[in-house]
Amino acid sequence: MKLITRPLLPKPAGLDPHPVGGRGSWLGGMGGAPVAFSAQTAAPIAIGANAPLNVGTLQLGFRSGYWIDEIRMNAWTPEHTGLTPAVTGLSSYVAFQFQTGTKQFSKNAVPMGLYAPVFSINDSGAEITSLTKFTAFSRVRWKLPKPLYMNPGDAIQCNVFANKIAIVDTQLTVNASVTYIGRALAQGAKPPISRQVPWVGWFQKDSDTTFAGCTNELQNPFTSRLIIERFTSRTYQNGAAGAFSEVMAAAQLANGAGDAYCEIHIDDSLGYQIVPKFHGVGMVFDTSRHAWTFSRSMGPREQFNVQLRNAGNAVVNKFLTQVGMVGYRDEEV
Amino acid sequence: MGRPDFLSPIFLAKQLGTFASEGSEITPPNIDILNPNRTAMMIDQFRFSFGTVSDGSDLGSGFPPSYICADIRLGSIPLTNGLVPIVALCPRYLGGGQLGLIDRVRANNTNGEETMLTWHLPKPLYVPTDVQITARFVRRTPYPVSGDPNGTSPPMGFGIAGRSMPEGMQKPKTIWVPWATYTQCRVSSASSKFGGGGTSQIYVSQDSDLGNMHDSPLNVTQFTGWNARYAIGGVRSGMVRSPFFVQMTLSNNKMLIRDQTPFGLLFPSDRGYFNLNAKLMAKQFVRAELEIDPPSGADAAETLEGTTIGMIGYRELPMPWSAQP
Repeated sequence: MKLITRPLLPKPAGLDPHPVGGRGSWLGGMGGAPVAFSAQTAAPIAIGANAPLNVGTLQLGFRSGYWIDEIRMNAWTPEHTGLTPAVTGLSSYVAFQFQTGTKQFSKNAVPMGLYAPVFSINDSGAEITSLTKFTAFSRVRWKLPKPLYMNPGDAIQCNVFANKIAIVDTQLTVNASVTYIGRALAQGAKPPISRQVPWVGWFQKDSDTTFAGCTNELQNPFTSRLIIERFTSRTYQNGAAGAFSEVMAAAQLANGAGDAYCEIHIDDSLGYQIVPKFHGVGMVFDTSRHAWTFSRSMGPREQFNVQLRNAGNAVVNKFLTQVGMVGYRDEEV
Repeated sequence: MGRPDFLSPIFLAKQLGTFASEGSEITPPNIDILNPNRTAMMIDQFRFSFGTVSDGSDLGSGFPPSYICADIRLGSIPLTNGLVPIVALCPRYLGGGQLGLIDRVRANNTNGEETMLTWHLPKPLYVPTDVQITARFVRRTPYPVSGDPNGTSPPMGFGIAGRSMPEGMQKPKTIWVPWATYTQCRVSSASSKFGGGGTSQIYVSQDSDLGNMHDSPLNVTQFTGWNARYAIGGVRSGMVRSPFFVQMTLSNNKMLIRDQTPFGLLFPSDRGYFNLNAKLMAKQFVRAELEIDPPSGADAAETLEGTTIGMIGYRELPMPWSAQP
């Protein structure tokens, strides 16, 4: 008796219908099983403190290279009572710092609001859970400038800081979580020779100082070129009721007299004028995205010079303006 | 020779002040929107900001971008079909932070707030060193309420976001020139087509409104839609519920929007646009037909007047200034 078997379909080169970690992908060497892992703080972080997240849950559970496409950051307060339900500007003071091995994503912890443009009106909000209790939350979805390749066993370490904001009287402790979204390297696919590691620089000024200019915060600190893909910016206002909330257009474009509360000027170390005259930050950074996207190559030690100033006499509330630059550089794997 | 990967971002802007009266015009001084790096640039966005608006009307007609119009040119090449309302140029994008959405502008009728709209050009616009962007803005009569409900118009700002080209970079052989045109319902006629409780109305755009007036094909990338009702709490229930329909046909009688489609579904209030990728040949046009039959009751006063539909696209032209040094 002859065993009749169903003929196998020819297998295209580089394609494995059952790559490591899950069902097959028909994307050939580019595709692998989708992967996601996350970690969160064990307890609320006190203001001025930080908490490293459990790196054990932030890496692939099986031996395979993988790509990270997106990092999602969330912050929320414990349930509070007796406070006015108000937005609390969490994205200004909850800061994340990432690195993989010795490859840092930033020099220090970056406020989560500066990693990415706004994608939802609920990025910074407050949720009323009952008439007397509320929880504030903020979330950011950062699509990495380029997918980041990770060797088997490697992980992106994450440390969360609850920074103290000088112009705010009361800040709430926070919980935080992070989620990495990516793909496993398809079986048989070769890992890349180099990879693009993100880099984020940032700078801030509050309204207690009338003028501030960055020094080297927005510099390319590497000996190789850095590709900057966008500026990001967020502005927060300490309202009359003590609510510290995110604003952008209000007071940052121009008031009835045509004055913005906070204005910005940018040039670079090569002498290029980027924002040649002082303009309201809301005008420079699209108020619907809180970001300005482009693509700019920076040579080693080149830098952007950002100056922020209070404009006119229009400062009626205390505010905080943060500016970030998001890009990537090539690193050997 | 400049580095080909080096395009330095550039943002040019000018606060324009307020419009004196209906019909008055403001032109940004050329020096304020001239690239100070003295190099060619690629323009990605035009931005329009408006200061505090106080709107005493229940209708959204007090929304300044609906009655402040822009005429923008690259040298002698028009980018807009004459004066175009700014709402026709700029759709809304979800994620407006606090105030990026039009809806938020009129959250409080008496204490208006600032807002900004952005026109993302369909393709980057190359601006040679020896040619300049010029713009003029005119305040027209608001619709559907006659007279400016704001009393005075808010201060306006104009910005250009782009990238400076490095010195010595070769000029392109062709450039992408954006084109924006619109139709706005100003006088609608009563119709008895529907039998609702309110006053039925119908409006058909003029052939010259949403057309390609050029001798070269126009790549149409987007239609924008704005209605006064968007300004009230996002979208007034009547926008979707009541029979407020849009149909679009091409000048060769081909259907673009075949069925009568609710305006609020075609142009959702959180975006106000839909994208497409179509080619409109020379002298072809799109005809838009709006119909409304408001029910009786609270929505009986629904009107087409003020409704604006914009058409955005671009043309590919040979570099017009290549003969110049």
